[in-house]
Amino acid sequence: MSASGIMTMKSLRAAAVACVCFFLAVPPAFAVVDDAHSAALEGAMEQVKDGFKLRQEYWKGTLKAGEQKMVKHQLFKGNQVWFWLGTSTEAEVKLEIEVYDAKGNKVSAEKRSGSDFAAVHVDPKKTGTYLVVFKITGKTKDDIDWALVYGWK
Amino acid sequence: MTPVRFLLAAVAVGFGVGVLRADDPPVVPPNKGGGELDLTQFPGQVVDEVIVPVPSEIFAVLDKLGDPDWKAQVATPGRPGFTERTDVALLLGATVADGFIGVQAEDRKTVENIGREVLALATALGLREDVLKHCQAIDDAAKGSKWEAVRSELDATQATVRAKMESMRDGALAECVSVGGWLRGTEVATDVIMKAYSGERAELLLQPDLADYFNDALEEMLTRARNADKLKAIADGVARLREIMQSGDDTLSEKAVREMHGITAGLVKSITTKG
Repeated sequence: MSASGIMTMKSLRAAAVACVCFFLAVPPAFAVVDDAHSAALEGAMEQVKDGFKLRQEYWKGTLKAGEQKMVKHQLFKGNQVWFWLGTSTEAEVKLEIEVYDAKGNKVSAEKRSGSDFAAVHVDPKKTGTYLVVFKITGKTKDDIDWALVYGWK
Repeated sequence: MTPVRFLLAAVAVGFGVGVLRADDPPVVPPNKGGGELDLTQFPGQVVDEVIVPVPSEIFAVLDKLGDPDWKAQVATPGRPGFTERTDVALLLGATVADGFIGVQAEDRKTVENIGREVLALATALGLREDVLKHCQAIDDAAKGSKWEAVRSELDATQATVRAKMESMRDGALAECVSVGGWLRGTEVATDVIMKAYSGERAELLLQPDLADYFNDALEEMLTRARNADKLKAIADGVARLREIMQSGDDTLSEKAVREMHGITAGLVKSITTKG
């Protein structure tokens, strides 16, 4: 597929996600601005339809294949949370995301994934700090872009 | 709490569950507590010290605390005119939190007033054009009693202000907005919890890493603030809140909640009044 073809598909996907978000009454500032974010949002659509509210702000960056990142997050007992990790890389990669409590115990309750996103669901049994750990593995030596989005209900 | 704690080198962390491929079923069965993460040997980068929750997340939990008398929590109108940017940023955060309290109380008039106050404070910070559409949306939604839309716009207002400040390389000032909101939210939450105390309800207040994070932000602001005494008092208060939060294991005693309420009420008063 040509680069322009890829861009066209990405643009269409971004437009589709933006449209869905608009009709789900997500604030306009939530317009898709990068493809990794777009992939994460696309992964989130099913849960958004299920009542999860997406946070407008998101986290993004690049990493090398196999490199791990950690985000610390205050979660509250009573709020279910989904985290969605997206990438726009064309390389063949696997996305992995887990959530741990402050003592390092895994608390991930459910997972979903697609070719360019992975998501994890947490239903915290305690209020406190949780650790979202993720990595993207594959043979590529290039920087891999990523975006992390979360939502709650 | 520094990132260094989490950046110690080299033992690979194994993920206990294999990653699903696109052709796998979309959902895997629950897998709780199956893996362990050695926090002293995390081999990667900490992206953010701690993600500060948006007010909606906290008020979503408060929604589940029964049906408190939210009207009693609504702040009386009339806010001082500050010129110092840190003062304005703190007050903006507290005012946004008051907007959420107005939503909880379904108090249309209060929410409309909050929209106007937020616009005035944003104007004082040079951000009028950035938040104008949010404030108009708050006003429209309040007039229609569309409370969920008001919440979304209040979250968006705070996010817009923070993003703009960070784009101007003023991240510490952005944190002042969060601190103001967090203190006002905690003041209200502690009051609501005290009125029908239970350990389970008090658990909501266990946020020591957030307190730590805010304390660091305030300490940074102290190095360049004109009104250092006020910021120092807030930083000291936040540090004390962190100590209290860390004093219990899984919850907080009624006495601890009462002390937290006294501290936050005093700090919010210093943020919302001149003197």
